[in-house]
Amino acid sequence: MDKNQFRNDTIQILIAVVILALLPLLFRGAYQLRVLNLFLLFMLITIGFNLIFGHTNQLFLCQGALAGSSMYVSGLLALNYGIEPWLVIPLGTLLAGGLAAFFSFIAVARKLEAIFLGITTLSFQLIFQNLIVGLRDITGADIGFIPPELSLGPLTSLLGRSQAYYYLLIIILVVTLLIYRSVMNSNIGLALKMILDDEMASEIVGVNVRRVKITMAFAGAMLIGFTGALYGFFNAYVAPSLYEFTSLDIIVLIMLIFGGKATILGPIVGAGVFTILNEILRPLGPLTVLAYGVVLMILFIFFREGIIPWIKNKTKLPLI
Amino acid sequence: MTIILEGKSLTKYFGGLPAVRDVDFEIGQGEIVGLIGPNGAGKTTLFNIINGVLKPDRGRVIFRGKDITGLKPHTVCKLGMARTLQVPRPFLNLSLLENVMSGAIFGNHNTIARSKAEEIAYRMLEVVGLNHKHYVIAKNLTLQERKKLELARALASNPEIILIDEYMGGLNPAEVKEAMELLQRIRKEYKVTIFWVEHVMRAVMQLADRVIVLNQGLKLAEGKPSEIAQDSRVIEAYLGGGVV
Ligand SMILES: Nc1ncnc2c1ncn2[C@@H]1O[C@H](COP(=O)(O)OP(=O)(O)OP(=O)(O)O)[C@@H](O)[C@H]1O
Ligand SMILES: [Mg+2]
Repeated sequence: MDKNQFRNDTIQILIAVVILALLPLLFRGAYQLRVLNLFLLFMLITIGFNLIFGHTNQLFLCQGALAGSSMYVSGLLALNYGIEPWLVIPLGTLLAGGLAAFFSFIAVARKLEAIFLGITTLSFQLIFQNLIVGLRDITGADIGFIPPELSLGPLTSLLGRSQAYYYLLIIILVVTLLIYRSVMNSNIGLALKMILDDEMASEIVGVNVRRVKITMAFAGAMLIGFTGALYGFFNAYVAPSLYEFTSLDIIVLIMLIFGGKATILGPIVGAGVFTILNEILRPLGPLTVLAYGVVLMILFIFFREGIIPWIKNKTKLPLI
Repeated sequence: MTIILEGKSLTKYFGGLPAVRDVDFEIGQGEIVGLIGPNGAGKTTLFNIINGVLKPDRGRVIFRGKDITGLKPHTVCKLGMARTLQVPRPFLNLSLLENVMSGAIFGNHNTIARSKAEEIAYRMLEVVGLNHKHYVIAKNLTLQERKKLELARALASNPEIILIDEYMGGLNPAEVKEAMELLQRIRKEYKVTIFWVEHVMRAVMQLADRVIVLNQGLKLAEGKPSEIAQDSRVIEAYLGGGVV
């Protein structure tokens, strides 16, 4: 059984990655490449969010603040002290992980229900947004700042900047998916399935539910923080608008709900569909937020299960 | 007889009202002890205090000589105390095999390999009589099957003691007999002590070595089944008889 599962996982991950790796050959324009990079960045953030919300039901509404704290800390350190960006990105990443672990710890220690954790983390998101604007002298407020360039070595001269970024993200994605897959097939994966089913029963049969939840928050937020920093460096211009609730959190939430919580393929498909939609809706300007609000309501009311579980149910395909 | 589990003046209030009040008890190694009492007497609450689902407002729980008061259920489980619930809660989206493996993998004091856990799971499913259903998803089980599955999951953690919160409600006489044989077999073969809440008096009176009676949170009586059946206070608590 485990062996079949392993082969099944490998095939599906391989197909997904091959398709993604071929996309830049089809879409070569500068704008298209930019959208493709956004696609992978949001996909990775959604996978991180999935580890937290999808697998352990912890409703974090501060993905933007986690991604943003990581970027602002690493970007500003690199800019102001002339430190090599690759050396400070891990700091930002750890910060994001630490913040999330802290919120998760409070939630389990105080027994906060999902909704209260949601409110707490949303407050943090708003505090973050305010802080960035308030600390004008350091952050440049709305005007933002230009981080130093992230060097990709020979990859850049070989492929051009955008494509180099894209394939770096592909490598990160592959590593992420392989780790994800092996964790899901390990005892931790079993514990995660148990916790999704019934937290109290998991606790009674010997699972340290608190520890699993805090660990998942830490791991998921590290991925969000790491990707969030790459997002800022790739963008070559960092402003609060990148990490606002309406420009990041809500989109990631939609990508995950639409794709399917607690699935491997869900964030990939969800990010694909809504990256395209995001580009289509862009001309609407501020109205996009309204559109997203409506989409989110519709998803929550009618389509909570998500596209991958839905297809899985209809077709009996063993989608992961 | 060695005392394996001990409660000392255990007390728990819910919103000012006592659900369990100053309850003392001792369970000896290898015993089957019945815990009976009318609805709302505090039986489930007492179990919740013992395995750490609830913190007592007062009192201590001593398990194998160690004070476990206030420890989390997952720690208590690893120390060798398994539990089944009044309303069974198997993992509904997992297969029967995975359900029981979960008990073996996480409930044992030491981590055990998956292959070993699978082996244990097969055996325990057999013991409770759910063989040939290994790959069935638990949500397709009937209530009685869920109870059996929970018992198998509890056994898979290789416990010293199991707290069983009602196992025989809704069974016909033949099934009750079968269930009694199962509990006896568990004690004998796996050397498990059993602390057991049950409303089916016939079964308790036949199977238990001793019976503890709770009423309105207080320990009303304790003794051999034959003594309990004669006890006028117990009979009164059950509204004028019908205990046996
Ligand atoms: N979580 C809770 N919050 C508030 N009151 C509770 C809670 N759990 C139990 N109670 C109350 O405590 C008392 C004891 O309940 P408990 O479930 O322990 O009884 P029981 O002996 O198991 O009854 P039954 O035979 O019906 O299962 C009852 O009055 C019940 O309403
Ligand atoms: Mg009860």
